Amino acid sequence: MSRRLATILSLALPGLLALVLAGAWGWSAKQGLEPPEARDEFAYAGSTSCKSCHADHHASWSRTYHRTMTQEASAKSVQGAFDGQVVRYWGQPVRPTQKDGRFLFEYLDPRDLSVLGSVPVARTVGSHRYQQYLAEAPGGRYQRLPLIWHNGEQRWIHYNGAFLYDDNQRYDQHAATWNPNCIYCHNTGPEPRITNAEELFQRLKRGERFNYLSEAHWDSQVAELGIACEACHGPGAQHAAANRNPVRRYWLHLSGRADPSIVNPRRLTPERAAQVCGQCHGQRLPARPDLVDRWLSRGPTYRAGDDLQAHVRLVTRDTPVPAGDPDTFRLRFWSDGTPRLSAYELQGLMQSSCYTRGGASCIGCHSAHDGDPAGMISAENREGAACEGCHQGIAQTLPAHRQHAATGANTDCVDCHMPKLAYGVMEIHRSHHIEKPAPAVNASGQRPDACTGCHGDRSAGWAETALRQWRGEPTEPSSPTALPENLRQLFAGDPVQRAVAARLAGAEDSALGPVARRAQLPLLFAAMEDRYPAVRRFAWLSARQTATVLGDTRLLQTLAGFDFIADAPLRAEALIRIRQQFRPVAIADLQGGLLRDDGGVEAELIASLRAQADGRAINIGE
Amino acid sequence: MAQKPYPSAPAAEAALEPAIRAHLRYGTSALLLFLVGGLSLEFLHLIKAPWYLDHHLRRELWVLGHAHGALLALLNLAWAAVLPRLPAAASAGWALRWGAALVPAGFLLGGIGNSESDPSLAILATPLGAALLLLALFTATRAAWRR
Repeated sequence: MSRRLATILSLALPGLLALVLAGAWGWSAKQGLEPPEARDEFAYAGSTSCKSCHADHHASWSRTYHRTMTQEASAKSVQGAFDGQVVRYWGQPVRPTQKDGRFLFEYLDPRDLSVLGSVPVARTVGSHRYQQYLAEAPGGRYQRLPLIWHNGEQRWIHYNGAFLYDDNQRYDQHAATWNPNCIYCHNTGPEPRITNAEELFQRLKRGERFNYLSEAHWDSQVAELGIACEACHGPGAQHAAANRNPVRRYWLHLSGRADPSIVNPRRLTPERAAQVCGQCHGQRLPARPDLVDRWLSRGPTYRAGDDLQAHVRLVTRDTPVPAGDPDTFRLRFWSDGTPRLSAYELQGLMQSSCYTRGGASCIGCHSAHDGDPAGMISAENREGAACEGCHQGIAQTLPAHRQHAATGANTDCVDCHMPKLAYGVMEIHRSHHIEKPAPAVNASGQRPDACTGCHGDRSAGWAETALRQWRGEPTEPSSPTALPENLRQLFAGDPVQRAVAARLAGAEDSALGPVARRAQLPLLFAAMEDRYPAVRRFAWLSARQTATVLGDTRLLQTLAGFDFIADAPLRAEALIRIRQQFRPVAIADLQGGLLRDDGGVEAELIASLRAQADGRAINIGE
Repeated sequence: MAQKPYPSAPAAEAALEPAIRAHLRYGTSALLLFLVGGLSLEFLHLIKAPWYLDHHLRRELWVLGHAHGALLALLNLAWAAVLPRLPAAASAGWALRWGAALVPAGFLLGGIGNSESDPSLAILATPLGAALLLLALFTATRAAWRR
């Protein structure tokens, strides 16, 4: 064989082989492009499998708090100070400590601090605002423990201080079982797998009364702890298998076609894309009673890309409560149906004309892979870039539209159209019901409003008049002695109103000037006597923020001695020291009569407002 | 059959001179080019260029392109050095030079316009170049084993 022929053959044979292989792959790729006949709803691959092809998306997801939502307890995952210091709340001393590399809560005898029992931490839930701890219990249960670690304040907090309940709570009031609750939204591919459902059902049929949570046995499984790729993209094992074929992949890259084996929320309709997030950020019940069994065994039926409302019934103000307090759901919404707790963002969005008429979706502003992990939102979108996509006319005349230019205030779209009024995870969050401010309507509906929340020293009438003047509508002068709406709600509102008002009163971005902020401090001290721990904490945070703005370091130091969940006598002592530290000065604006002209509080008016307050606890479904 | 007479040593070296110069030209030029390429990659780290640093596959491909380009440039220089002792390998010199160019080119161009999971189609240059390198090295190996 000549050298030239050998050269030609050595090039031609691999080329021919490559052509044959490409043909075979091409044929198989075409087959693979057809959607699988039956989707395997349990065929999860896990985020490690995704990483080998989607390293960048894996890395951007890894930064998020979604990834660390549920973790096995380890030195890497545990954030709390398990340092052996005793923590005592609701009369129970507990010592978070470590032994042999394990994290434990030692429950102590209140009389002599001897160890009554020791509970090892098995898993952690959350890593952003606070971290909860789960312990293994008989029957395959994972039990939520009462002490949580607050990351912002770097301290232990009892769960009774995180919920909207008053001081009169049992130590284990908010004990929760992970298996039929938290598992659904804090993990990927959750399967509670109750193992004795039939036995429990028969006992119920016999009329037996028992605690279902402690009697149920579980063999719970998840595809992955935390909220991983497949929670939003659907189970990916079929996708991973199909895309081992390079011709299929290049065919999809070059044709720009959607891959039917996986869900990309950006290729879904706005409604379906919002539902991907809404499967957790939209509190819901199984769509039909017969699905309850399925939820308790192999988990929810919804998968990313499906029509969520075919699988679940979104909880609204009017949703009938299956059992318990018939007002449970009603209390989770403001009177106009706007959600007032977090994890109802989908319901809020669905009430917005941006969604119903404009096709807005969660991913118009948020991204699981970009922006600040805290809100999964870019700096541009926080400042309104997402709104400008549709509202170009307003964007071009923004200073005139904002109407706050004269005061120098830099208001963003969300400040007026998505005010902070939803309670959750010990913070007040923005409403996802995108709406126009309506101070008078909102005040009569007993809910916060963007105008009066920011202008915390002004009445609803004042805000309504200002709005009408901007619109060129006829106005009547508002009463100068009317109560500032935020302060009225701070004392006369129900627990959520009071919590929101307390938080807004000292908010960093409040429109209050230093004089008004200082004047309101005695009212915040009064709110620190609220019988709801959550309200006390927000009032304390606002007082602290006010002291920071005023540069009053001595007051800041004294405020540091106040613990919103300490025993009542200790709180009272701390408040005495705080009030001694603060010297009221004569003021001109009496805040609708809540303050005297010497700067002190008008206790009788506060007491009469408190008498109007609705004291009902709000059940938070988290 | 009359045997082809072996050329004398100076004559043989003179015959190989164009091939040696071709490898020296390619090797030194490519070494210079990929040195500049390496400095460019370092500069992208310096300015924290997101379109490079945040794209895992692009980073990998360009680093591979830089590394292969530099190593194959050195291989060309080594080839030029040993060619007088392996004159039979000279016939495959074109395959070595093209292979040394196509392999890094495939990596570098594959990292342009690529998806997250796969290089762009320009990556096909890399296996083609690898096949040429294989041919060149096979020829050189055969020449080394022959007497």
